[in-house]
Amino acid sequence: MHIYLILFLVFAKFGLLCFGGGNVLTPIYIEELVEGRGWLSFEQFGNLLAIAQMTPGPISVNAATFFGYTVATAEYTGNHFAGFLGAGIATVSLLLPSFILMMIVLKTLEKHENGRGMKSIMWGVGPATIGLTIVAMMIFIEMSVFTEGIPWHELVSGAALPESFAFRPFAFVLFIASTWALIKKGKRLSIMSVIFISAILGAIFL
Amino acid sequence: MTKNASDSLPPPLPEVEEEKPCVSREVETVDVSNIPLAKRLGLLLFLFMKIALCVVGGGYAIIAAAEETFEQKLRWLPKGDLLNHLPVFQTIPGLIAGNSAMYVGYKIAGFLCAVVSLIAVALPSFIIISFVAVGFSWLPTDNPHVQGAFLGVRSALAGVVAATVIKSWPKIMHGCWAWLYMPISLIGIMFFNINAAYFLIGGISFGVVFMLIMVPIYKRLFKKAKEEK
Repeated sequence: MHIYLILFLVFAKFGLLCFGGGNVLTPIYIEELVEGRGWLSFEQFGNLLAIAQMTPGPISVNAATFFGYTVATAEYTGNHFAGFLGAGIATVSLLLPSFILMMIVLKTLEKHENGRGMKSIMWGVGPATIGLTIVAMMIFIEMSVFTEGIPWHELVSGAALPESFAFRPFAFVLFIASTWALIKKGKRLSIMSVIFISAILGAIFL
Repeated sequence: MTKNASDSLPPPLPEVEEEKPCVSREVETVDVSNIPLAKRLGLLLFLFMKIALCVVGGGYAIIAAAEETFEQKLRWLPKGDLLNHLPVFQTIPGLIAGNSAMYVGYKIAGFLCAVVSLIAVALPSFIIISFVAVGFSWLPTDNPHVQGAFLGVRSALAGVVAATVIKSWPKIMHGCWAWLYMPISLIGIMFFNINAAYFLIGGISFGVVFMLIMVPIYKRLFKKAKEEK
């Protein structure tokens, strides 16, 4: 299949599965883009998502644009025009499913406005979104606080840990500090400024 | 014949009752149909681009900003309209920002405006990210300071996600279903590598089946049992 058609299908799937905030999509991105198709490396994925979070605008649109650009330029070896086309296709196909569904709902909304169906869907899927967000958190912790994926198998069975696995204390401090800052001072500090400050601290100390 | 039939029906009283809230609403909100379509489209495009660019912090912040501009300043929508439809914006998959923008556009000028406001929400970040992406390919990623900066950013990102988990936890985690399904989906994705999409689809289907089919049947049975007593 052509790369742009695959991009369209993959990002339309992301658009269909995006429930309650951009972070829910992170495990699905990993499954599809990193592990499934091998379009991005684990580290590259983390860097791209971090930049998507830093720039203004909705996170999922930023991420889709960035992933689309990167995948298409990798396919066509650095052709920027191909990259822009890939970015456009990724963004449009991310938004298309919700557009179609929203139009259907808006056409039928006036008839039964109590929204019982909507609430029951949200009630059912809410716990799964929390689970997915925790998985996303673990993925970012594995990319920052530890040098690689946590070796659960070795930990449980008591075998020797791989030598490449290590703990980064400074990254752990940054992780705890940014969590605390966003919960306690979330009204004054924006996500963007927290990430920006950590980038400067990381460039100096790490 | 038809005249007689309509005379025999008693429609005037309920109609008057229904009109009353409508009249009071129209006093509050501006009648959008008097504004030319081109002006409405242009304003929506400009305002949503501004909102998407200036508002950092995800969908809920964008809804608050849209409330301020469209309900309080312009008064194109009745007060509380956006907040009342929040369950719809949350439930339809996709961005909360995009869904609410489509709703505002649709209410103001129908289908075309919904397209325009969706484009307006996505366009600024598309342009910015395109520039960033080109710049990113020139960045010396081998430099230790650049790598350190990215490591710092990733640690902060873990913190951002942890903060969202902690903030949304009390809203969602109550009841048997939440405490049963959250660990199942977490363990299933992390340790058994089950596709995360299955858990989302499973949750939706359970919610619909349980709340819309099982609960009404149960309530009806419960009522019957009570009446028999």
